[in-house]
Amino acid sequence: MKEGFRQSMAWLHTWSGLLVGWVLFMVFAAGTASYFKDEITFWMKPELHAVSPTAAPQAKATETAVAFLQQHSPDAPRWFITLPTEREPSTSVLYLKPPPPAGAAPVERRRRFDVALLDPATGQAVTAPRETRGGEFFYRLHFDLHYMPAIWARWIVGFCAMFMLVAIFSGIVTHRRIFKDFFTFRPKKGQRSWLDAHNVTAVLALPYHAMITYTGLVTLMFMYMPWAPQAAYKDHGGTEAFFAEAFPGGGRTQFKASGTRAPLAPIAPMVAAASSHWNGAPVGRITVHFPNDANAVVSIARAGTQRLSYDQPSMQFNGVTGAQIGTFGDVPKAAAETRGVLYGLHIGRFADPLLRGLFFLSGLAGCLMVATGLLLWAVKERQKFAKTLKQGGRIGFGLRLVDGLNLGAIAGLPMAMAAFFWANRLLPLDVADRGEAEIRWFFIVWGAGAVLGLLRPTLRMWQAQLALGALLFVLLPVLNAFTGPAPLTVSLRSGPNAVAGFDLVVIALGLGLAGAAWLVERKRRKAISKQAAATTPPGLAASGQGS
Amino acid sequence: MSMILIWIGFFSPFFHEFPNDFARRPAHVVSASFRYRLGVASRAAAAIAGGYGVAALFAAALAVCLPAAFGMARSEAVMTGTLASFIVFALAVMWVFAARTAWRAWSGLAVAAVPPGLLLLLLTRSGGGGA
Amino acid sequence: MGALLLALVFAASLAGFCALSLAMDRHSEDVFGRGSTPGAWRRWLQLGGTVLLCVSLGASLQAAGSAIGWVLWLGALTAAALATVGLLGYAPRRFHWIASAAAAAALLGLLACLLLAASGT
Repeated sequence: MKEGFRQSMAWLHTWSGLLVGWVLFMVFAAGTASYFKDEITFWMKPELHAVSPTAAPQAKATETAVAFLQQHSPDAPRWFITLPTEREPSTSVLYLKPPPPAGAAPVERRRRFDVALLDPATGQAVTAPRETRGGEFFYRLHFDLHYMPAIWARWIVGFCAMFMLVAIFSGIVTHRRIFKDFFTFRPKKGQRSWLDAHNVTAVLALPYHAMITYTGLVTLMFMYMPWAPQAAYKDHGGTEAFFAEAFPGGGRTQFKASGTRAPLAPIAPMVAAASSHWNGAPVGRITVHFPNDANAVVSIARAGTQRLSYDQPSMQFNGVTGAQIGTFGDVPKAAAETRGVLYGLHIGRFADPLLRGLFFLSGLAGCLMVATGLLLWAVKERQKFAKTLKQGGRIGFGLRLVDGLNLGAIAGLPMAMAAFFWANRLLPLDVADRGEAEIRWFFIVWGAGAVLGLLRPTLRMWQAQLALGALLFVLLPVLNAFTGPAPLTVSLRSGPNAVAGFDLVVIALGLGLAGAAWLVERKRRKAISKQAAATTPPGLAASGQGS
Repeated sequence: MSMILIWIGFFSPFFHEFPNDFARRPAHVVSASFRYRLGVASRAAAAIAGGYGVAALFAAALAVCLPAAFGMARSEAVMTGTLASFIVFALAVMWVFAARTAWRAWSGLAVAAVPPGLLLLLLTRSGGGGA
Repeated sequence: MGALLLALVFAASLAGFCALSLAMDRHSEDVFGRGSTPGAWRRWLQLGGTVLLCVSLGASLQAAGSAIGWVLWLGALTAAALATVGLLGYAPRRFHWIASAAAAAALLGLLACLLLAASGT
């Protein structure tokens, strides 16, 4: 019976991993990149590289931000002010534009608000950087995908995440010698090596993989599992009542404009009061509901770098009188705090640069785990066709499809990411909807890689795409030197650190891809010499030598 | 929802019983291969739909029972139930593929669905609202 | 003190995993040649390795607090384990030296941290 259990879990692991592996590879890659989305966005706005915003205390930054907002959008229904942090030294403001009058065409979601980056000391908008989605693209890509409604994407990704969770559990059960094989990696041994690579990248970062998959589901858990709120609150106010009770201070539906104008009270003292209530902890985000209205409310949340939980305490103030309305989240309840911690672990905002780097490393291990798993399946499946291939036959359709998908998904994605960065620097500044144009290049290159991979899933194609990806990555710092004010030689000496870090990391990633391309070359040479040695009739090169 | 699951469980013998030894699936007999695929499809349906159903039942049942049994705050119970449901889902999927036959897979799920289903029916009815 | 603690976290976890790997026949062979076994050293390597991993945990909790410290430790463990595998695969001859250096660094670092803590810095 025990033998049967392990075997069935091995079957489950294989299929739950294979069927969603290509989507998961992209989710892992984009998610790993998102750990540094702020830095990526910064690199993609070279106009900001030479400008260093003047640091200012939080009170001053608040004042200048409010002055800017009063000037530019005094009638907005809502203002969001994110105070400067170490990773983002400018004040970021976002304001909703007033809704269009009834009867006018509805405005697309992304056009309903405007953003600006302000110098904290003066409140001047930092030199308008080029329009780009930056690192936010990768962040959104890994759960909202693209070119489809967000809800569909989240269901697809959630489905894949659930498969992944099953793959992790079944993988643990199936891996009989998990401790004996802990450090085992035997290179140059064919299928053995692929299995070792898959085991090592999976087991050595297992806490991370299990955490990131489960917490990923947790971030959208009320969408995937709305049944508990529905059942428990059926006669007690419905799911809305649940959210009001579980996340007090967060609701925006409870605020309504009155229509009468009233001057907005100064916000800087509110920031000071909130900070002192939290024992000097810095304020993170300020939300002003209906500024310059008699019903204005100012909601202030603590900065999110102090603890694991994503939920931060917040305080609400009357927008006209400045009086304190309430404090929320000071003493979170146990289950809510657990969820907050799980959410926070996934988002990782608490992580300082070192810890963030470790998360990045584990994320890369995750990408390698998925990739080696997909390739391992193809290698194992190919063995079933060994006899047919020797007799000059061809491999089955399923394997050929997997070969092609593997190539497109694994070798095509790095090329696409690099293309995104190249497009950022090479596209003209006045292109309409520039942010989308850059993203389009990501998908064009990925699509080309996928189509070519499906047409000719050969070792040569692997080599070509990996090598191209390597070249595009390694040359990014050169591109930066020619299209930005902070080439590596400058940024290493005097910053900005984000630019130096980006340039160095892409070189490292490019070298890694080059290494992979070299491994493929070695394998190609071995395959050719093996074929020459065996006495196969000429001209019958087995098609689909994908891996 | 538990009623639906129990019905599906009773109809599932339509999908043949199937030995658990996936490593040696018979390839030489066409009908056996078809039965194999049908068995896999049956299990996949059980895992995805049935597993989700069981997980949803657990979430709802915990959310309703924990306040009644331990006086936990309602929002807390909802959080706990929902957090636990994904683990329940994964375990249900593992059960479906570990079970020796597809029939056992479905009935196992049905059995797992009965306690939370009953609790939900009892507690929501006694709470003053219909099920 | 903070930087010293972080260095201790990494040195101790690397040394710990190196020791644990050497306690296995397979990796003892990798490093010292075919047929070599840890022999009498096996239990000591296992014990020492575990102790070093615990030292790493302690340093991590001290450096980053009781919650984030666990996350940091697990991340450091991943990095150290990957480094150990890399060393075993691609630098087996230098493994012995690197592992000993890491262990020495860990012990010195531990001593330094304890002294600093005792002297009230």
